[in-house]
Amino acid sequence: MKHELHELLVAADRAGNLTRDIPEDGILIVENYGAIPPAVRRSGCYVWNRGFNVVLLGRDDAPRYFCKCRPIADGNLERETAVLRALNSDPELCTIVPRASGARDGEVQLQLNEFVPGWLYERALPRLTEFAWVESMAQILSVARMVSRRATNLLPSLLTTPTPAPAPLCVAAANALRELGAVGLAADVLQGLERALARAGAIPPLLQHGDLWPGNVLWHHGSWRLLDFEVFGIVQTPLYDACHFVRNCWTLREPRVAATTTWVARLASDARDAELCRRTILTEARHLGLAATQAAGVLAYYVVDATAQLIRRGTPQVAWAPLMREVLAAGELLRGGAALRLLDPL
Amino acid sequence: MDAPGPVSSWSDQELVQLAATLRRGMPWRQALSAVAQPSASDQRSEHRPDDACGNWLWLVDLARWERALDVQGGIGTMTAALARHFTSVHYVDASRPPLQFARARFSEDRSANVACAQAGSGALPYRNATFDCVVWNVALGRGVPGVALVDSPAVLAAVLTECRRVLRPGGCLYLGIATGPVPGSVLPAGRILSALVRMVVRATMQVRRVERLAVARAIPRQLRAAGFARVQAFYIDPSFQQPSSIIPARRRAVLAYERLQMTSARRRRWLAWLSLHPVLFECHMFLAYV
Repeated sequence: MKHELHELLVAADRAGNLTRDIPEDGILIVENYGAIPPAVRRSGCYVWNRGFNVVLLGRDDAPRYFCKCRPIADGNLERETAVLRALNSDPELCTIVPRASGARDGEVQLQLNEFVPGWLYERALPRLTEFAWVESMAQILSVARMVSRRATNLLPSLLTTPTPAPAPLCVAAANALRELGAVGLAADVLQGLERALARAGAIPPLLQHGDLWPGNVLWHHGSWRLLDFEVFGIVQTPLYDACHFVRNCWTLREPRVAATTTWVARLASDARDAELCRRTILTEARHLGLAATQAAGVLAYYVVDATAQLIRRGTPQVAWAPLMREVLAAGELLRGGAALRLLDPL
Repeated sequence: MDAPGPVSSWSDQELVQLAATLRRGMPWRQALSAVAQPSASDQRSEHRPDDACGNWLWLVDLARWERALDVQGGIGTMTAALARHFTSVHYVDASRPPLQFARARFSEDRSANVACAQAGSGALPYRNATFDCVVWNVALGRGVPGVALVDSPAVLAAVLTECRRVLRPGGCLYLGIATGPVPGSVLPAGRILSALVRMVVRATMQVRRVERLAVARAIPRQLRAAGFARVQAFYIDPSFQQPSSIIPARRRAVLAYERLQMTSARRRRWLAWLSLHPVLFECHMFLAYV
């Protein structure tokens, strides 16, 4: 491997085992997203999907370490490494989040993690029974909730709004709504969403994982582990992770239904899968101390914010169009004052 | 071997069209988009200015990162990647249209460290031991149907010897060999014709798989015969244009990679377990050190 990469790996390996464990050709590149160094250097601007990931193989070719390599201008990796180190130092969280260390030079930065074998929830999900699905979602959301609560104490500097006087949800979503308006979202849909957000009022902040989907959850030695903390803490609205997680679980379990209808519209239906999704979100809302109206507000906030994030990153329309359909469905349902119906417990 | 022919995944006609479009003053990125067929645009990711095709360089162990050569450089994708790692990069291609395109591309991008020249890969116009790294990507017809592996031993022997000659001691040759994409379905055809086509396709797939085994065994031998001291083999998945993964061509490494994949393809794992892993991948990459 390139001498520079080897030097960085050795620098990141605080235990000093890497050189002994990893042969010179024990490197497997996975998720090769973009060139390092990048073609155009744009310092200070976050660039989505840059760099590549590496699995370092031991002398027996078994995976030993997982390493993220990013261009130096990528601001998220260093932040993620700091978050992981803080979380991993907590005795309760050290079995849930991976141990990580980082190193950088003038061209590349990397994050070194121990390789955690196991089964991705994404892989097991389609085959689970209904009971096992609901049970596992509850377990995973409880793990995520514990991480969020502990992180709020461990990383208070990440909080952007003070706990005693949090901003109302409609204020937090104002920019995102404006961005959706700019790409053509109708005024009456925006108004419906604004009303639902206003009804939710102000919600105390709680650091969220931000990308909690089944591909970032691993079953390892009898417990759940969370992966990929790149955007941890950027979203600070409780229940956001639950909405994102349940929506993605539903899409993976019900791909045929998902191809023809939106999750939000389905959620308001009497279908069995919709009832299970609603129940999971409302149970989680209760654990977080949120009322059903607030939960409906967070749901609206989630679809609006997730869509706006993708648009902001400059992703092509084909990537954010499905989320925009969710926004339209939410706006459609909420316009007639059906906020409670959306997450109405049966 | 250096006669004008299909020099990249772009056809001759498209390359001529590209060169003509550039002459009319269109920027190279726009020219690529204009010439690429919309249906094939997802496979033509090589025109993306910042793709990941050069990240294999992080696997290379070189003492010096000064001079690199891209043999049969096509539209210059790999040359652009090399230019971000090496002080000076030379691009050569035997065919005129891609050369014109590459010249326009690097002049427009103000790539001061890239020089382009017209030359065949069998007779490189450089002195011995000039380069730290030589790239011959998608060698042997670059997977174009009907061209792949025609008289490949003779072509390989000639070009590899030439590449070895221009490499400095400690230098590295990147050799990328595609065994060709497996054709998909033939849509506007009747049932009988479709069935016949499917039979032929299946037979072709089997032949291609056997061909992959042959490539995995023959190429390291030929590289050593050309004077390379150390050879490392890798697979690129799914293609050279979209190199999402680069996997060491070893049984347990491939097994580890297959376990990381989302699909639970037991047949693939069995083939890997039986050390028949070359048949699983279309794109084979070799790093050969002097």
